[in-house]
Amino acid sequence: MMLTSKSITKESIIDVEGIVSLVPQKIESCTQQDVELQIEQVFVISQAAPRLPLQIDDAARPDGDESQGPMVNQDTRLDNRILDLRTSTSQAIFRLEGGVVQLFRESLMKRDFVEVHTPKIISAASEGGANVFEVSYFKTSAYLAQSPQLYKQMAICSDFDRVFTIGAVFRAEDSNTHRHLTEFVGLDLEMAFNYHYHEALDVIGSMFNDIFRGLRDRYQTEIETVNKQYPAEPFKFLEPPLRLTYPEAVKTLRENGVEMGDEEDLTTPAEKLLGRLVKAKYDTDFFILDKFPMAVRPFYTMPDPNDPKQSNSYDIFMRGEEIMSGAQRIHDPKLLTERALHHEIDLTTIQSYIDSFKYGAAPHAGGGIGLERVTMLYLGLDNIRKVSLFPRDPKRLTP
Amino acid sequence: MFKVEPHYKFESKDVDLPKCMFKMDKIVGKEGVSLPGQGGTNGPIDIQSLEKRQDKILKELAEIEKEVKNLEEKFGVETTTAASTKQVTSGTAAVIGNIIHDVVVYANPSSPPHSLVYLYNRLQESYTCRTAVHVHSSVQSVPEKLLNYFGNGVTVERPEAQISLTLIWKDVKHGPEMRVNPSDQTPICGEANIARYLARLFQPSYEADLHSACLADHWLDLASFSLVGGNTKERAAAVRSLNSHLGKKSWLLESTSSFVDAVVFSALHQAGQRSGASGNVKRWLQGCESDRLFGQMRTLLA
Repeated sequence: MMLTSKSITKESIIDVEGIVSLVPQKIESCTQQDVELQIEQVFVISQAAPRLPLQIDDAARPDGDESQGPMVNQDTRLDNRILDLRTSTSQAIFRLEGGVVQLFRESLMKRDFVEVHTPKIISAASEGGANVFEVSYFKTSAYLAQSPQLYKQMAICSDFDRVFTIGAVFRAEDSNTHRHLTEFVGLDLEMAFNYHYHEALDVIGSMFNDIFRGLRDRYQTEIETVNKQYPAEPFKFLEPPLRLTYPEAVKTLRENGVEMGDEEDLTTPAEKLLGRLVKAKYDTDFFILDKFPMAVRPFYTMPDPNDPKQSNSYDIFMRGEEIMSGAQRIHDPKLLTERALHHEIDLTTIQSYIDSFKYGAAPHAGGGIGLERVTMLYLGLDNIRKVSLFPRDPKRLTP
Repeated sequence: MFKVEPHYKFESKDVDLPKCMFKMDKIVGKEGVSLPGQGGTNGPIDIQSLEKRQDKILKELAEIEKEVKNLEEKFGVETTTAASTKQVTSGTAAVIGNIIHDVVVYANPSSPPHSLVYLYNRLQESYTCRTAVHVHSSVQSVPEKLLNYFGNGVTVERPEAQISLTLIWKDVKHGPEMRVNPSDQTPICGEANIARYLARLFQPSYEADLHSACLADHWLDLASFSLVGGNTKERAAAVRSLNSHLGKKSWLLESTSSFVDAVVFSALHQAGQRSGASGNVKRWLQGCESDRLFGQMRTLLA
């Protein structure tokens, strides 16, 4: 029988009949150490092809541990994603990713948010035109939504007060980096507020902390499993989250040798450096940067009433990478038109957006995060493709 | 050597010296300057005593170095990045300017550094201050009263504050830790050292008088080495010495409470010596608790 069972190819699905019995000595090489299975019959339910494109053991080997055997490179993994997903690491990653969505939903439901679903086929580009995929739509063409922003704002205008949406988002950016995908899952929220946009920022901050706390407490084993293959420092955060202002960040960066103007945007290296500096001082991987300069934000961002150069907008960082960019939105059609003209945007393309604020709109703020990015940064992984089930990037459409 | 004829003939008797330069006295051969090693009756003795002094200083330095090494090992602090600690010389708001001097203190919720409350209240007398209290993810939960550590003061917005004090409840092992500018400062460890730093902000002159500075250091060292870091015997001895000192005075240093009182007060609590305190120490502890500058200490301790 040993002989027959040896001829069963790896990764085949089998049924086994046998007797579970206690062992006199612990079996050190297995995870189940107290009992063993004395097999009497084996049935092959589904036989795997004899030659696997990659070995699961190889795919589960810690990075840089080449002395133990061959490594599987990223493209081979993605080409044979089904096998790659069978590693305990991948299993843990996607369980945790599901947890992020669940915690996001739980946290917002608790705060009286309504879950809505927005259309993904849209007639015009929501943010002015660039980076959208064009698709044919019967006799005309349409676009794939690059953000549910307009629709969640319209939901606010329809008196939903607080909404969130979870769905695919498409970006036609030809960026081949470790953190860009052309299709990803967007977790977006928008809420009306009473007195100050910091109400929204408070909600967003506590929402993130709910997610981090939930992951820390509920997904401990998954985090440990992933860390075995991809070691990373545990994700650190503060309760309540740390909130810094943009001018302060610029000042800190200048003190550390970065040359930049007051109204310049942060470059990616500057972001990373800022992340490191904040971590050194406050020991947190998560922080909010408030009050970005007006010049680097989109036209629909609300200017600061006290300083026209600043805006009521914020970015949120995890491990020194930006994960959310949000703001209070302009809810006054007149001001919106003015700002759009200032940015030299063709008014006809955004007329429907402006019109949605004509019949009374509450002041509101919000933002959106990419599920994959949050998962990647929480786990301290180096590539976003590891946390997307079937990633889509400029060079990959299959599987 | 060969004899060489002069290159040119120098005949002129008067040489025109340039007048555009300053005149200087000759350095060599001047009277009254004795060169080292020659002349001077007590020269060799001078050198000997100098040498002795140098040796002594070097020896002391080596001892200090050893002590620092020991501390470094004990607390696992990396001093490789240690650059100069910038001297805080200014006491005036103008010099600190509108820079927000963000002081971050990590503290373990199991032994709260109570002197911070006092220090914060003192800072508030000279600066616009704000505080923030955070809980680090290494700590599961902290009591409600620790979240409101500094009381319900008026909170100013971050950019408007001259000094911002951020307290982070974190699972730190060797007492509180302070960070002001981590890129060119090592963390400052220990409650007494944090108190020294903050005291220089609101009372820059506290070290001007050597006598009182030494007294302050004495009590601060007693707090950190004998009370917090010492064994049972050392603790008992420290409490005894406190007791006898407080028999003559109502406060440790001056006629009013000082930050030294606050640090020793906090150390007594951390050492668990509060309940067993008697006589003068007990009276002094009660005095601290009802002092205005100790804020809501009673509720914090309850």
